[in-house]
Amino acid sequence: MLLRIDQLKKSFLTPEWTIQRVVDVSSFTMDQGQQLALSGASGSGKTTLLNLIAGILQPDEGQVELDGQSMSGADEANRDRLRAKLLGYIFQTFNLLQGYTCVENVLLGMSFGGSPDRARAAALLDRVGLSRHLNYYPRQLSTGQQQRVAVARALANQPKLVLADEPTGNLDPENAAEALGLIRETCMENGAALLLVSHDKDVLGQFDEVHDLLEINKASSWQSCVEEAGA
Amino acid sequence: MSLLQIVRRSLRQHLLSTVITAFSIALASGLLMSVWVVKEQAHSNFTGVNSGFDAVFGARGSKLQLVLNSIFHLESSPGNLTWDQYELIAKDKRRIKTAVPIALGDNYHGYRLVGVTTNLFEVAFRGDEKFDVENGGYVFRPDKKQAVVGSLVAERLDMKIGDKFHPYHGLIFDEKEKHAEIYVVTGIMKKTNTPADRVIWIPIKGLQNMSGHSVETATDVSAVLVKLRGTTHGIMMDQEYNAQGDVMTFAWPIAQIMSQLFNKIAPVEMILRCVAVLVALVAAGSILASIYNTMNERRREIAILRALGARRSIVFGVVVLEATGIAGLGAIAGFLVYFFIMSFASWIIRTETGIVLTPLEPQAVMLWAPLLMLSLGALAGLIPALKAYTTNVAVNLIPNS
Repeated sequence: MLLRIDQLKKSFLTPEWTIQRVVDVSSFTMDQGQQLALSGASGSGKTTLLNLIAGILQPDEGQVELDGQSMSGADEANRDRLRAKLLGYIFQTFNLLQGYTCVENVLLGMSFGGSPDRARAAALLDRVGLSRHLNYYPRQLSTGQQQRVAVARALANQPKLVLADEPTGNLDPENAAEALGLIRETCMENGAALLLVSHDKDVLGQFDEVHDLLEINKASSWQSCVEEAGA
Repeated sequence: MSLLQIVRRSLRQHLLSTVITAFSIALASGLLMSVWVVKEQAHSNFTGVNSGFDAVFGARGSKLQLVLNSIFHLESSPGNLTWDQYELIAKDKRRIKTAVPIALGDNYHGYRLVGVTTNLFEVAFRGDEKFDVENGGYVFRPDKKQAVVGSLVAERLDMKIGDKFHPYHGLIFDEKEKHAEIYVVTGIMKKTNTPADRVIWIPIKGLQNMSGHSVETATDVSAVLVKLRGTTHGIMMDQEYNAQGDVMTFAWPIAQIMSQLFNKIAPVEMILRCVAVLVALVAAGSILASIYNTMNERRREIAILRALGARRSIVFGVVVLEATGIAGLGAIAGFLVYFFIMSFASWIIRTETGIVLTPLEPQAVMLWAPLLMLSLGALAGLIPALKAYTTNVAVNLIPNS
């Protein structure tokens, strides 16, 4: 088993000084190489869940175990180390570093969990169709090309699991389909599992296995109920 | 990518602020080194000047004024001695090895004319090195209107052997005060790096008898420069002329008297040093401000690095190293600022006093000032680094947050 979530809970303090639970997942698992999509509307706790898995956030309660190692129980330095070593992260807004070239962005993906390998970075960019753009800066690329750099960076450190947070949210349908195909193919080629969250039906339709976040995240269904009641 | 590569990239990314901030550090570092070196070298050169003489006799008055006037050719004379008084001093062969009378009162384009006897050129001023003229020239004849020009004067006024000039009355140049006499340059004095380089030497009789000078004081001398046969004689003469006598002032030892000058200007020096240190602190503050101001736009960058697995200590280190890097660049450029300031300061000091500073001579401040700037830079980086350290990753990964 690659990912195991058990009784995971996370709450935030609202601007009104009330505590709001955003994530309440009793059980969730993923196997090595598995590709799975989570569907959920805005505010359903998708990003928070991914940040908890990535160790960017610490849960209030519960466990996140990645490749047999406890992410939630580790101290911050070890969570950083595990994230650098085991995870790749693709963001909706790409989150490329603007002052770095494409190849340097990919190299950064290797810098904190292993040793930077320029040849591998170039090969990854070649795989995503950017072999002629190694020394381009993100601002010199189209949005579709920027997302491909983000895909290459996510795979830079040969991660066991790639987290993709609305990866096609900023792309037009044609580029979105192309990017999604690329993410799935490259994850498969690199032996990485893929956990993608999206509210886009076209994207979700590409996956054999889709889970509704409303069913997994009790806090999400609670919030949806509140929203419906409010509406 | 290594930590240093990330730092270098960040400095390049904020090139303009990096350059401006490094420039302010360079100014501060250069100023610190200049203030310290000028102070140290001026002190050592003024108190240890190789004038060739141990003491000065002059009219009753301030020893410091006497030394400044007769050795450094600065300030006005405290008064005159008679020729008889000079002869009395010169005859004291038991205690005095050499006595050279000088007379002042005229100038040429602001450079003082010093009337002197030819035995000045028999005095060794640095080891066995004697005052001498360049090849092709000769020392003036005591009964002729001839002159030996100090090397700095010759350089600044482009004077050569055979040139003729009219002296001007007074120590400050005034075109209306031209004397009728015409003097001929017979020699250019070899460079001594002492105040002797910035005067024109003429026969003492020529200066005493210059047209327009008072006939009553025609035999007076401004001071008598002496070389003693021993330190004990200095102590005895100090007692004899200064403590018990009331006719002459015996200024001895010259270094100790010059130290009084530095004691008097010590508060000014202290203020200058404080200003230099304050400039260094302000420059360090500019590092803090320039990096801190970029922290808002860099929070997302830091969050991305953290999301890629960079530990808090790494982003903290990047910012501290960045601040240290700026200070380092500034400290290196500070040497250029230092040489620029010192070239100007040396020129001014040599022109005004004849004392030559040596900016290229290694000094302790050349090590500690750049190190101080590096340390201040690193310290200045701590506050923005702390901001980087505490950046909320989850919040700042979202754009426009």
